[in-house]
Amino acid sequence: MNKKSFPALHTFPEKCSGCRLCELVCSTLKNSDITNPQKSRIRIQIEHRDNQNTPKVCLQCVEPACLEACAFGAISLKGFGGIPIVDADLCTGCEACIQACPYRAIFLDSEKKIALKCDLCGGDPQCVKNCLQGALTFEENAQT
Amino acid sequence: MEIGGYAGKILYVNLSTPEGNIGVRTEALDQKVLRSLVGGRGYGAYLLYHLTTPAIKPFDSENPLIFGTGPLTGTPLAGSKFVTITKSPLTGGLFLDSYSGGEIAGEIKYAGYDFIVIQGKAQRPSYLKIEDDKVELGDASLLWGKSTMEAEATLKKELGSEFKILTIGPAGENLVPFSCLCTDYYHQSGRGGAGAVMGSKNLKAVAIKGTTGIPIADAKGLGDFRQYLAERFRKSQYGELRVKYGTAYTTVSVSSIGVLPTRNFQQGTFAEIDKINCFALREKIWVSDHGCLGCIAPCMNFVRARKGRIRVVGPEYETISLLGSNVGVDDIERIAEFNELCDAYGLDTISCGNVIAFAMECYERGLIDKGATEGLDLKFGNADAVAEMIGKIALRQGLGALLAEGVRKASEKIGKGSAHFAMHVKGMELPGYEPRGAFAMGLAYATATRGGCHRRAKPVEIPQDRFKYDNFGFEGNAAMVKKLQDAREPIHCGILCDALLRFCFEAEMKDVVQMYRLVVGWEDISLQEMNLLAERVYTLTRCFNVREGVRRNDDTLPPRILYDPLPDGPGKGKVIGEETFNKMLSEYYHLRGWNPITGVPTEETIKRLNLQSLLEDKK
Repeated sequence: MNKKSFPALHTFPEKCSGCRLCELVCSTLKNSDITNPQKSRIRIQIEHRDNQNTPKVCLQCVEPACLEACAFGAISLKGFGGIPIVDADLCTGCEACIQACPYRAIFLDSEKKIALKCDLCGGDPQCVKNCLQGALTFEENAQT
Repeated sequence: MEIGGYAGKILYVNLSTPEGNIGVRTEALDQKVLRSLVGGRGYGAYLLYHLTTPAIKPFDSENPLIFGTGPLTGTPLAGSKFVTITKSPLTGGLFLDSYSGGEIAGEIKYAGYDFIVIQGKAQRPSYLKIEDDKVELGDASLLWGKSTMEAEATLKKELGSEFKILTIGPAGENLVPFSCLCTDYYHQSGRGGAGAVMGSKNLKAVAIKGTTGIPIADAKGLGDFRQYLAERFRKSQYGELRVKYGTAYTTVSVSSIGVLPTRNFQQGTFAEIDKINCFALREKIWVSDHGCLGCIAPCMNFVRARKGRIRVVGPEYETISLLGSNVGVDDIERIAEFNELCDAYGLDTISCGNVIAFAMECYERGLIDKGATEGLDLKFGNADAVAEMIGKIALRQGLGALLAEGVRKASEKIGKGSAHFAMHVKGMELPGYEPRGAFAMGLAYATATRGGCHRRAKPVEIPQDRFKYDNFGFEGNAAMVKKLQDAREPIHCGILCDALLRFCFEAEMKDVVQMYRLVVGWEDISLQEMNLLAERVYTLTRCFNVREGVRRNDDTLPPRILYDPLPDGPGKGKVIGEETFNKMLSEYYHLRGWNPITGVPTEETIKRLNLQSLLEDKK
């Protein structure tokens, strides 16, 4: 049997304008209506001199290194379409998952000491909706 | 704070105290003032008014350098900007508010401040590092003399890429009165010389990183509203062009109505426009799109020119016109090069284009000779000469030292009738719109608080079904200029990008009211209150200038604009003339409630706008 792939965001860095509206939207939505890019689950890595803007966001790996790395059972495959998500109650903020992620796409909420990982907004990712440049798309259907 | 949008406090930094011990204190925003002035330009003007007196000159250490935001800055709504407010060295101490995009706009708020007020003077070249409530002064001896780009790159490397950096270039260090501030390499607070004020404080850079959030009163509502705005804007014809070509598209509209400044405003059309317009830009040098923080319609162009050696975001329309047609250069690649040079040295491209064009006209008319130019053949169209002069101005070398004072002072020194074509209002050089092809633009220049500026009202190509006005006369122009100025105020208090205004003007002010409701939570804010806010802030900045001595006779235009007919374009043969101009100005004062003879806001107006208590001495 072929490997399954989870629903995930796809990024197109060459289209990204570096406006970070995705960060602002994500952090507001996931942070009790308080805009704070430090709490966003998507980050735009910006290199201004050459206008290179690279979206960093979870790719929803089928064999997630983050899940493997978590010693507290805080990451499970219980998200939308079976994607890995973080249980904030179990997360200790030890950063093991952040270190383990090969894509550097998990972040730390340094105030609450919780790992910040994209959960695809339960199947309706708001960053995609707000990216008018088309630098983010959502591949909803899991492939087999 | 209980309301949304605001960080809630002002950071005061005094650089003049003994080394290593900079004076730092914070102050809560004054709740009594907040609703009447909101933030940004409004609240910032109030701060400047009370922190200065007419005796304080722009380069005095007491002159505060204020970085301001507003309640809408850094929220998920639209492109965020910040403002730099200070006494302008270019206009001799008049009110200056200079806006810029860039990530630092949001970062000021995320660090926990609505305003940062910097006073005093550091003992040696320094940079200010702000990390939430930790404020330190760092040594910038090694950065002094470096370009804005080198300085930013060095600080990013030293402090970490999460810091947002604002720097000045050599021009600011050398107190060139039209030097700018630069952030994210390509965003500038261009006009009025805030860079020189920063240089006078021995401050090379400000680095900010913040971790605090901004509460949004109605996040769900704001999300829906943002999508409605974005959709409407991007699907409009204007929006599509704005995203594709950016401000460079203005080259098309201004050429068609003949208001493109050409060879120091000697003409309103440029025969070689096709080589420097937005299509040339897009075809020859465009690489990718760039947007300001939170933008819903990214309009900036990252370009590479001259075989990739030149990298810059731009050139914006004003740069294309003032450092293109106005100096007679017909090569978009060279204009991109001038743009990068000005950014690196930290010079405003508008003023810089003007002073070089002014010098070129002086040279062609024989008012300055090859001795003065040190052998440079300073003819219109000589791109090499333009590039060389940019550096000389920033470093105050040779003729550059004279031009570095701006066209007003340069023309005073050169004399020989050159004041006739020194293109400035109140000392600030004119941007890219020739008023003889759109008379209302002349009134907009004459009445803009900071001098010859297009960002308070831009009454060119306004559809006649919006306003009834006479493009080559006086009727309707005053009302239109006032309305356009007022429409911008709540955005400049916000602070968001005023490109939004294009459609906010079309939707009247109701969208802006909605923004404040959703972000701040002022449920009861009305259109009427917003209109009153606009008038209040405009008159407040006028009161500042009146205190500095501005009167009706200062609200005027360069003689060339006022008395000479335009030689070409649809406005060919048109002369504004004193009579028409004075009629427009008198009507404008009448509408504003300012004394028609002096131009000073009347007591009734101060009362009507509830400005008395705001202007009262607080001590």
